[in-house]
Amino acid sequence: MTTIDPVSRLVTRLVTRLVTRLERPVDATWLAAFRVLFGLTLSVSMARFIWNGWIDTFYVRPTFRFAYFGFEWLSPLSAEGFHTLFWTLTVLALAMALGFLFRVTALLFCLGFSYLQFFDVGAYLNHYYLATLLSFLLWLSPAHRTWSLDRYLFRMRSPETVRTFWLYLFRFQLAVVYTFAGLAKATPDWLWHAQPLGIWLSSHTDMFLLGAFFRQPFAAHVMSWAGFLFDLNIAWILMLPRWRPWAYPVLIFFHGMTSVLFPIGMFPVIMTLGALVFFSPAWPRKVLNVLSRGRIVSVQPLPASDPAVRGEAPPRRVNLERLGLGLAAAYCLFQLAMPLRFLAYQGNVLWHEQGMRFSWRVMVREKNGSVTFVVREPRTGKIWHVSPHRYLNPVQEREMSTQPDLILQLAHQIRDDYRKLTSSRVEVHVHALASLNGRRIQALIDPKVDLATIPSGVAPARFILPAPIDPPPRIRPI
Amino acid sequence: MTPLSSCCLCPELGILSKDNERGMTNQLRKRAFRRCLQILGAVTAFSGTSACRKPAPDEVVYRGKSVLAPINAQGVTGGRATLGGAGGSGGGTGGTTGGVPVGPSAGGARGLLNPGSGGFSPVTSGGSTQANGGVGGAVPTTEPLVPRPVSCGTTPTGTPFSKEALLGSIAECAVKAYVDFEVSARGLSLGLAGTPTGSTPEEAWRSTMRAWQHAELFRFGPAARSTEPGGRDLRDHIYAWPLMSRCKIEEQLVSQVYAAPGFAATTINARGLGSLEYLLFYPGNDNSCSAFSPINTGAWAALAPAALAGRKRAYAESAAKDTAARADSLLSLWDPASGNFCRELTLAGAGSQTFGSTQLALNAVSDALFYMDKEFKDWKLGRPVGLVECAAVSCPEAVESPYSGTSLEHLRANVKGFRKLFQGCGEGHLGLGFDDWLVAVGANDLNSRMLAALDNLELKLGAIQLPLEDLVRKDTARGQELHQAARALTDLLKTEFITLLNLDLPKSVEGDND
Repeated sequence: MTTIDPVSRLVTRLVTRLVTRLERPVDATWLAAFRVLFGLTLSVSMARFIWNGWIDTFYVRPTFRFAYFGFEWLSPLSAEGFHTLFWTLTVLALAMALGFLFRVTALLFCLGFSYLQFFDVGAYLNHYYLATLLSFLLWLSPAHRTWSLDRYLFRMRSPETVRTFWLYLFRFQLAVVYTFAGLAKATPDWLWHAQPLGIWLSSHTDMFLLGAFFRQPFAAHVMSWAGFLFDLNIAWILMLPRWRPWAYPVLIFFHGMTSVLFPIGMFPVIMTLGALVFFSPAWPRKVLNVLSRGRIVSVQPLPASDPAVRGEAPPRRVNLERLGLGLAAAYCLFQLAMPLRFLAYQGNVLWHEQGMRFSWRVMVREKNGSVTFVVREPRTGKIWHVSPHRYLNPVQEREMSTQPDLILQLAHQIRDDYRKLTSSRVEVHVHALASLNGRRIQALIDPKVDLATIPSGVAPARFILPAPIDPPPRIRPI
Repeated sequence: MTPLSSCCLCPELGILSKDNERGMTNQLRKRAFRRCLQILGAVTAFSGTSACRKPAPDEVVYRGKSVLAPINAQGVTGGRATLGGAGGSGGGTGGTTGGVPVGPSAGGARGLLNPGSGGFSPVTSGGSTQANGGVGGAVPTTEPLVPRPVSCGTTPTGTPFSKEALLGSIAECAVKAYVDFEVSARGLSLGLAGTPTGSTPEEAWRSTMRAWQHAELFRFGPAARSTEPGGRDLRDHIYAWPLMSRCKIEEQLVSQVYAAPGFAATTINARGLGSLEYLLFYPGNDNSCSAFSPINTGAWAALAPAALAGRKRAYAESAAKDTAARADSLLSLWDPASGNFCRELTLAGAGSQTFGSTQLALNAVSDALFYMDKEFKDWKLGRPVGLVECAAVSCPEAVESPYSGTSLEHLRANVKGFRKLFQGCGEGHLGLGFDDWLVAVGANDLNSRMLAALDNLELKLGAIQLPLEDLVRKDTARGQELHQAARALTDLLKTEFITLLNLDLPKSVEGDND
């Protein structure tokens, strides 16, 4: 006779309850609202590239690109190709917002936007990465189930509900961003020395109203702690219905401030609108109902026959559902593991930058570097100093000068060029100095190492020198 | 019908229309219009029709033996220049037409030059001019040119640090550098036009170049590229280095474009101080163009050495006039009485149309410090000493001024210019500068290290006795030490300096961030 382990029984019961809960349908309007707002935001984001001439600056003019490890095969488009891509993405994002041919437009947008992300490491930004992930989730989700052109054009009869699982997946994604951004701030630099915020706020002391506050010696500490506590807790507080009405205005204020103080583009908008997923799933319907009572707009409430109203689970397609839940669980684990991979590398991640990307370390360091490549031809002893500006534009140079893996990539390009020039083997050393959060400069890369012989990869880089251990300086706000 | 704006007598209106397009103030337009009227008045006066007008106080700058006629220059935004005509070596013939070139090819300068007893002595009365004959046979003597009285105000010594005060101090400093340059450029132009200035054109070029190499570090505002805040590309028009083309100059010697009215609109790589160096200092009769160049199908070979020398002189005269006109424009654009970039800079964040905050203005100014990285360290030093883009042990031919042998002098002037911008323009560098900002935020240690690096660089430059091209040939290692000293300074500039003051690296602020 087989006896069931009580722990296994408990686990099974919990999983069953969780799965049942995740499969329960909820009003789909939260997802429709997210689709509309996200689509519009991304459309504006793409239009900003067109309007500001950034397509040429970042994608067309650079003659050298930093490739992601494993994505070296991605080749650049022509100038016309890039311009066409941005125009297309602008239109696709709009179509996505309208829910027009959603499955196709969302997929194409996700692919096009992902291409831009994985084409050049130098262009990496946390919020572009977030937009890539959200567009991927959106494409998979039934976000066109309600309030979409598809529903109207194709006379979709499916209920205006989605499974709770989608709600939690989007909430999880945003909670990951906030929480890891908060954890990334749990460092002595941020909390005890109030750096780099002290440096950043010093340039806003002439700001209207807040300038007087920023001139106070304690302002950077107050702001540092406020930022840390906000990032760490806001997602969890937003999940509490009672606290939500208080937390969301704080969130708006926080992102409004970051938008004014720092050049972080669409990030505050994406996060402010994205955080609406923490509200009750029917919030858009409720809002519009309130508005309709004011005769502004009329909205039909969810029909009484809808499973969400009756509290019933929809008919189950067990295998597909379970597969979907399994993939979602894998996605969540990946999202948890990526920001933690820095633990596999020893030392200060802000210095060696291994495990820095895709880990939501948003605005946590002020780092500037000075890099000169020193090429030596062993046959003749001839030495050349190669400035990065021969290969990179100023934006790329700034990115490269503090990120060892990018320095290595450029070193390889220089090695290849000088090998051709001299028709012989060359050594490539680098004179790379960096200042982290205002500290005294020190060598980032071992100048004795011949980078020409070091392969690219994700293994711990031995050519990176240890991080500074002295505390950052205290900046007197002026 | 020729529009008034393109009238040779009133080129300011041409500039006026450009200014209008760029959103210049009504005040500037009115002032430019008034100046045009003054020029027209001066021309009328020159013909004797308004001799009785009492000169406005600011028109009578010179109070020596003679008071000179106002002239205008091609492309100059001001028109109160007074100068003596070409002094004759023998008995001055004098006369009402002597010595005051007016019109499209007139010298582009303002200020005074005493023509001396050897030439004529033009007398101005209320804008009219009578050029009298000088004392025949006497040795020409000169008096120094008078700088234009332009100032951005004065920051008293001991003013406590504030970002606004720093911007005021920097504006003063920049204007001082441009005043010095303008008066030198004017002298060079006058000298090449034949007016005795007390120095040879070569000496005048050296002096002008020295003044410019100081001013090179102040590459913000109107001197900067038009893509920068307030930029008008004037630096490149004055000195386009390293975009110099000897072949282009030689082609223009053949085509004589320099004598055509559109010379000021020709490409920058064959105008300005760089072209003047070649024209004044290169003694050879050969050219650097390829065999496929149109001038090498016979046109160049057909030029006799004397004819070539004459053309070089005429070209130099045109280039100097153009440079003086640009110098005048640059100063006028800063002048509180006309372009008033002084206001734009000093009122950043408080009414400035160009800079929305003091930080943005300080970013633009600090960008100018990075001249020491690319232009100074990599190009002016790195190339000749063989470290940058040089296949041989050293590349002496890559020095900045190969014809005049003054490259080392330029480097020294650049360092002095950097020091003025970094430490302030006052006596003993007491004025407000970035060093005071560093001290104010508590970065005394960085300030000391930057000053030490600057001192070391200056010391190393001062210790060199040879021209740079000789040094890199004979003692490449010492040249490379110099490069290393420059790098020590720029390493600090690119890292700790911009970090602690939260400044942006030049052109690195585009796009989003997070």
